[in-house]
Amino acid sequence: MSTQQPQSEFPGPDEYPQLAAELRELANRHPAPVDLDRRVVGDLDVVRRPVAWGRGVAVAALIAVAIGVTSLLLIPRPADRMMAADRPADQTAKSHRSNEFMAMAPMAAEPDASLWDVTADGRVDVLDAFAVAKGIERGMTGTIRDFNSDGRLDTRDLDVLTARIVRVNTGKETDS
Amino acid sequence: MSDERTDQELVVAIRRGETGCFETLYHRHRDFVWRTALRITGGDEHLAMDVSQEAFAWLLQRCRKRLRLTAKLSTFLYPAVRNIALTHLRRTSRESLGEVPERPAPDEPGTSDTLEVLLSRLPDVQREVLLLRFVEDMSLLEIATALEIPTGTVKSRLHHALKAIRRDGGEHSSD
Repeated sequence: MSTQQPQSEFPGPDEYPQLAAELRELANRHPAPVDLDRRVVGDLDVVRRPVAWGRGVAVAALIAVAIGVTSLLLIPRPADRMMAADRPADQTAKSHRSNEFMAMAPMAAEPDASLWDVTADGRVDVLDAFAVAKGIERGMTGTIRDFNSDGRLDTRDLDVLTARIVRVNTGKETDS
Repeated sequence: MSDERTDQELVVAIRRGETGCFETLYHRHRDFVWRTALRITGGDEHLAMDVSQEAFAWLLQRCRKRLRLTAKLSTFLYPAVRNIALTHLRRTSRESLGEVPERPAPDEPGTSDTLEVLLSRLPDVQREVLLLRFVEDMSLLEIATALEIPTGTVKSRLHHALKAIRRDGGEHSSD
């Protein structure tokens, strides 16, 4: 004979169903007020809001990056615009050189634009910036123009060129 | 809102950052917290509201830290609600748990409010155990854990409460 009775045998709702039902009915006479939901769940909304903001900012940043990348890909490259057959003979020859960015011959009609057109392809675009960046990286500063006129040939010149490219690509200037 | 996850799984989800899970937890235990707060504050709805809100704020804070449930959440919540309520009562210079004024008994015993009257006549400690056992359906061990008292004390209080109800209101002990 077991000396320890299971706890379920002790008087509880199963043994006194009517008492349990009446006690529950009494308890249910005072349900939690709706105002409590507002106060507790309202506090939760305050917690959620920054999370939602963070997600929103992250989504916006992703969209901005996607637009930027797409814009870069959609910019017509010189090779696409200019058929090889249409290129001038000297230009075609220059394109075969390993240091293409060194070719500084003016191509565009506007002299001012040609100053920035490092690749001499008739456009001031991201390829010019790449060419300048490559020149700085390889220490070939002799081929870089002093865009900011500070007497030195360094990344600041690249910054100035990049800023100009951005302005051009946004359509604020159309000098290329 | 039919989240089948257990309380412990919801607590883990909250810690992971799923704040919506707390709403599920809240709806699951709202009535229990409210009833407990209302009873301990002697029916003061305004105070019970503050206590309930504070209890859930405390629970959310605990969920975000490391909360491992070894028993039902109600077992864990009960002492918290009680302590918060007692703090509020002390702050407002009200009477403590054992001295909460009894509800006025109706003139005619035997009406539909009889059980409520019988309950109001019980000492708080006995009423507390009786309600946890019969309304919240907590086991003796869970009650003992929640109240931080020995299981034997729970049995004793429950026994005396049932005895009083049997003695004073025969119809309720006819199960």
